[in-house]
Order: sequence, then C-alpha cells, then structure tokens
Amino acid sequence: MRRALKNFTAAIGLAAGLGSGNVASADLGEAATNPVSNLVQFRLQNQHSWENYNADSWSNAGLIQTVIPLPSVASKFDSLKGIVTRATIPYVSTPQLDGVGRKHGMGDTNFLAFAVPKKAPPKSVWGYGVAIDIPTGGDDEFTGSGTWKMGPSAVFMASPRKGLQVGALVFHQWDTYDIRSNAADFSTTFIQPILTQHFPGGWYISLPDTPQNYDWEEEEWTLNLGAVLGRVMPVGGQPMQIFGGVYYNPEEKDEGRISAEWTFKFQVGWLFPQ
Amino acid sequence: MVTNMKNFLCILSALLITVLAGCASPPPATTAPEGLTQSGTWVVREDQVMALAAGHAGQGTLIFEGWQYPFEFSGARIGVSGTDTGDIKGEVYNLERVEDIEGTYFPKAEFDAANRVTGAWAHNDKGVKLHLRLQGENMEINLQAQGATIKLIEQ
Repeated sequence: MRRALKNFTAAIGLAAGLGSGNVASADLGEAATNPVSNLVQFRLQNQHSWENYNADSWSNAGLIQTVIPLPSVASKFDSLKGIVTRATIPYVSTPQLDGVGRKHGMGDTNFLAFAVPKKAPPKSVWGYGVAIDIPTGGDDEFTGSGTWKMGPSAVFMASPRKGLQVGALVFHQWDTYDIRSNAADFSTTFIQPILTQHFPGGWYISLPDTPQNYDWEEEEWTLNLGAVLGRVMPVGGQPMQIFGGVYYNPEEKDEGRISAEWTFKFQVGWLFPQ
Repeated sequence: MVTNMKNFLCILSALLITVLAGCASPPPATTAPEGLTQSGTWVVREDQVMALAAGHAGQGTLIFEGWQYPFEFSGARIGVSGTDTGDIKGEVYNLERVEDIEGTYFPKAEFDAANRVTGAWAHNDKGVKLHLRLQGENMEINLQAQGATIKLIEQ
C-alpha cells in the first residue's frame, strides 16, 4: 500500500510539474476524453492491482492503446461524421492460484470500432460499432481467455455545458471461436459511465476509463469504482495526456478465481491533433 | 476492509487536494471577454500560414465539442515577417452549431505597447467571434481589413 501511494504521489507530482496553462489544452482535453473523437492518440498505460481476491500477491497489466480515426473510410458514407478505432494490447503478470510463482504473458487484444453519425442531438455525439477480443493471450489460461470474442458496441456523450462530458460507452461480447479446448463460455456486458469535468490549465477529473462489467455466465459484477485525475498539456511542444486513477472492486469472485480488489492506473498519452 | 476503506479515502483526499491545486493554477493566457462564451479553439499551422502569406488559401483546424473540423481559410491577406514564424491560433466564441463558423470575417488588429500586431478579433454575420494569437516569438504579421472567408471541409 505504501509503495502504491508513493507511486501515486510521484505520478501526480509529474503531472503538476509539467507545462503551464495552455489555451488549447481545454479543448484538446475535451477531444482526448471523448471516446469517439477523431484525434489520433498513442497511450501507454499501467494497471497495477496491489490487492487481489483469492491471491496473496499483486497483478499488473501494461497496456498499449491506440486511437485511430479512419476519415477516408468514413468519407465513403454520407451519413457518417467519422469512424474511430481503439485497440488495446495488454501484457499481463498475475499470481498463480497455488500462491507460488507468477505467470507473465500477452493478454487478449481488445478492438473497438465506432461509426459516428453526423445526425446527433445538439451538443452530443454518439456512435455504434463492434467490440472484438483477439486471443493474443494464446494458450496461457492465466493471461488469455483462449477464445475470440465479439459483440456490438455503442456510445453516447453529451456536453450540456462547456467542460462537462456525460454519457456512457457500452459493449457486449460473446465467445465466438475457441482456440483452446477448455476455454470457458463467455457472455459479458461492459458499461463505462462517462462523467468528466475539465478545468482551466488542461486539468480534468473523471470516472474510471475502465468499464464495469457483468458476467452473464457466472452472474456476477466486476466493478471499478473510483476516480481519475488527469491533465492535457504540451510537453516540449508535443500535446500529451497524463492521468492517474485509483479503482476499487468490492465484488469478490468465487474461490479459485483471481480478481483485482484495489487497482492504480497510470497513463502517458501522446496526442496528434490535425 | 476497514483499512482498505481508509486507504481509499486517503487516496481520494489526495486526488481532491490535487484537483483543488489544479484549479488554483494560473488560468489560460487568454480569458473570455465579458459577454462572450468560449466555444472552441482553432489553429492554422505554420506551413498553412506561409501559404496564406503567399496569397493562397490555407487550411486550419477547429476543435469544437471534442471533435476536430478541418476548414479552408482564404482571403486573409496576411503578410508574415520576422525570424521565427509559427502557428496562428486562437479561440472561438459564441459558436452554437459548427456550421456557423462558416462565413466572411473582417479582422480588427490588436497591438502591443510597441504598436506591433499581436493578434486580432473578427466576427461573421452569425455572431461567431474569432480571436487570433500569434505563436512565433519574433513573428510579425500585417493584417489588411479584407474579408477572410472560412469554409468547413467535408470529411
């Protein structure tokens, strides 16, 4: 706990020390926290769970995330304002159930794609698309699910006043093609509420960018309750987004299944405005 | 469980204090003038500024409600000189719908104490106001009161 708090303090110190108020930051920040913005982004994230249910050790996931709009594809459809893709590639370290040793390896790659229609209620944006999990975790049942997963996705976000973003990103996935014989059946709904308040100087506070999810097979929730503090500002002329957040999951899984209880997430992201 | 809740509250307190510290940090360099509501920001990159200076149309980007909209900028009659050119960027005020950014703008220059142009204000017939700021430290511009036209580029 002490080490996690030290990391957290260091992260906030870094965020506070970089850059100064930048006029473009607030609007660029709203684009960076819009899940279907046409802003190219490259993000490095680290998700460290220092306490886990059913394991007396920590787990960690290093994530590479890309946000890439596809304007040339969207331009072929008159009704669309844009198409935005988001890919998340994890590298996972997790304790083994016997409490001895750890497993490390690639996790499953998550891919979201949203078509963003031109027609939308005033001061809002919405999108629909697909959510695909590619089993890049391979045969490793500790870091990967061993199955392709697919389902629909949707997002709605409104900005009732400048600096405030409210909405939700939702997707559901089913297992569609197993690459491992003992892959478990999968049917899970992911819900990411969006509530972000931007402040002068590029600062913002928001709900976690990690979804809450409900497992219909096991009939149980995995929650990520907490908050994120972030900042968008230029570092050496390069627009960047940095955030840190703490999440708590009160839902313990059945014995024999490891799940995070306390998680600290940190991101360094590079923004590439047009 | 009690210890965990204490930890959580401790971290949330740290978050809150840091947010408050963030709010207390210097505000943006330009604050909205009284009666105007900032709606977004816009930028014309250096290469496009040079295109404008050469008498051609240039392209810029408007960031409005979390989305980037490219636009074409023509007729500005901007003369650029100095050793350090750069982007031209600024804020957009009173923009309710993105289409309202389109139109003809007549710039009115802002001057510093040395009577150098530091920026300009302009508005169109829909009440949208643009503020323009120079980014290059030694950049000088010569704005002529010609109508500058902004037109959104279909994506």
